Amino acid sequence: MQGEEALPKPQRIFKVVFVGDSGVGKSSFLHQFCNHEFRGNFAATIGVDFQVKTLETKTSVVTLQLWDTAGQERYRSMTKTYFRKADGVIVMYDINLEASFTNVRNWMTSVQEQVEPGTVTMLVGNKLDTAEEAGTKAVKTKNGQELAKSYEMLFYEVSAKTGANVDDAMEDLTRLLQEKEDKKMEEVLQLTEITTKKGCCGR
Amino acid sequence: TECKIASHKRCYSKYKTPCSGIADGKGRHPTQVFRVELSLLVGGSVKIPPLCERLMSTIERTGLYVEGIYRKSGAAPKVKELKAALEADGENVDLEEYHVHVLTNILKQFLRDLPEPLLTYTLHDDFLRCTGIKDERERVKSIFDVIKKLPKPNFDLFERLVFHLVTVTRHSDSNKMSPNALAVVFAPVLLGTSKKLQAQDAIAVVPQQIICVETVLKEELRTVKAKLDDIDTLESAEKKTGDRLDAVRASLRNSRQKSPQLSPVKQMSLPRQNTVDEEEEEEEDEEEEESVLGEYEEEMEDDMDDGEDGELAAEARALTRHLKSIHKEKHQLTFKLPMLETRQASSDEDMLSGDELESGSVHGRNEEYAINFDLPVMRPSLPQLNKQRISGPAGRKLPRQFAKKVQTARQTSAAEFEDTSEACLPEPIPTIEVCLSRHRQPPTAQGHVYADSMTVESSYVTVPGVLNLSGGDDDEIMV
Repeated sequence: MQGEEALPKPQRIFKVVFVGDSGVGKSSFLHQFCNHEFRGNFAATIGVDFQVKTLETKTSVVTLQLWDTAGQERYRSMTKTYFRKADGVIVMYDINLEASFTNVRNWMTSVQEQVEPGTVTMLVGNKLDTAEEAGTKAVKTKNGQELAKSYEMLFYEVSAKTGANVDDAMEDLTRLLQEKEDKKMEEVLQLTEITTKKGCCGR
Repeated sequence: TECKIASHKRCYSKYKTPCSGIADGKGRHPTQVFRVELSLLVGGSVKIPPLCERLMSTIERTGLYVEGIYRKSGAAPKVKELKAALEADGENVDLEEYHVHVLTNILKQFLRDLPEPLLTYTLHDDFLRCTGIKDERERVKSIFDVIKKLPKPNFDLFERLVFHLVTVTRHSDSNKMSPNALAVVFAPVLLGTSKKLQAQDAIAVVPQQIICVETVLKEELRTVKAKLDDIDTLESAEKKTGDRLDAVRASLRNSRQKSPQLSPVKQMSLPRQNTVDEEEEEEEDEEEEESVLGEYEEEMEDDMDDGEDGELAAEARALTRHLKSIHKEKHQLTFKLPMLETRQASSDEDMLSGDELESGSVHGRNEEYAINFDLPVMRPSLPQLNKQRISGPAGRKLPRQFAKKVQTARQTSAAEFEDTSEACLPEPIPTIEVCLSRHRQPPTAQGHVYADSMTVESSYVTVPGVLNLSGGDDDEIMV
């Protein structure tokens, strides 16, 4: 077991927002990711929920601020405000429910309205376990991949119940977030180089 | 505006149909159903907007076992399509073609789109205040008291909606929608405030709103279950009685063959008691009903010609009557099933007084009215009755000539009320009458709430446009 001290102070904090139709399993996914257990209760999220998870990657320690939004239509206007300054957005749908997949496009529209370009997005199809067990898969993996590709998103099919792919998906996301961040840092560095050069010439 | 047009100020200019006078002056496109003042969608015999009724019954028919009903969303394009179809030609849309989630979406959207939320801005704070009460019984009672203050159209729709939701949550084993889950979904749809709130504050009241809706749902779930149990008991009683009746008839036939005539003396003594005893043995659990039946028989006894087969025939008759009364009571219960009321608050009386009121017997209640409510009573149609209120503070002595007038006015109007109320009852149903007389109290608050809320309603209808000016997008919690 890793104690608190084992994790050094996180170097970076990323804000990740979860969106998707009501009942696709956003809260369950988060719970599985943070606490490694599935809780079967069926209460809709009110407004927004919030979790923090610290991850250790090969190069550094990062903290993920995870914002779990309510899928209920009534809260949608509020949900939109949480996209601001998000580093990553995860759009989730239910593999067994075609409607939730159809609505991904709507979600993406409101995401793209709000977030800055360069934000990492990921498409996640949830409830893989029921799809496999009961054979109720309504959205083909191929369709998911295609959609993800058209929006340049990451794509995963997961099960919040069994935990399959949950950690993989989040690690992949974290990796990409870090890469983006690194890239940005470099750009910033380049900028300063240029200005110093100019300063040199001016002198 | 003269034609009673109701709209947002912003939308007002968008109305293309010219006002066609008060008679028809609804000032909206005739098929428009969304974003329309509720009172315009009902009227006459239509108590609930037809669209809502159709949605709810379709959902009840097709969707009760769908997991996450009302929580999950339908496909947005489908929702848009259906909404457009409903706006264009609502009557001819086949709702069953659409998935249940689409229908539930539309219903929620309808409720969200009302210019004023179903539980009204005015009462919003009252509802929230009620949720602070710790004692459950008290909380239920006070919330239901507030509900009774709702304007009539709102009350009707809310009553239907709650019954619908209870039907949904009764199947929570399959659809997983517990009262709490439904409350989470419906609280922000039903309750809203006109105050501009910060997003944080808007979220802060949500738990209270949920408690409110959940309390109502739980209470109604309990009541409906109890009523259903009652109906079950009645049904089993009905079956028992039916069996007994068959047996009696069979033996009657037998005895007729054996001895065609019995002594007339026995006929006369034909004791009612006997039959009642018999039945009490049969259904010990139905005591209330028995006593009802006893009285019922007493009234009916004389009318019946005594048959030749003495006790048996009498028993057969009694059983038939009993069967009838059970039928009636069952019918009554079924009819009352969707009624919104707390069980303690003598349901029968509540319901009847509601009906009476509709038929317009609101006269002569001013006194209690004034005592029970601190709201000023507006009664433009009956100005002379307002004068009674001059009697005002209890201690004050009126000039004699006034005092006398007021006295007589009260008496006459009270008499009037008595008359109309009797007249409004459906043809006397003996069993139910007996039932009632036990529960019945002098007409009290509940009735007046109705009347009261109706006046309130009419006054707000005439000042449209002040509410919800921000209503551009569909779903605001103001941010």
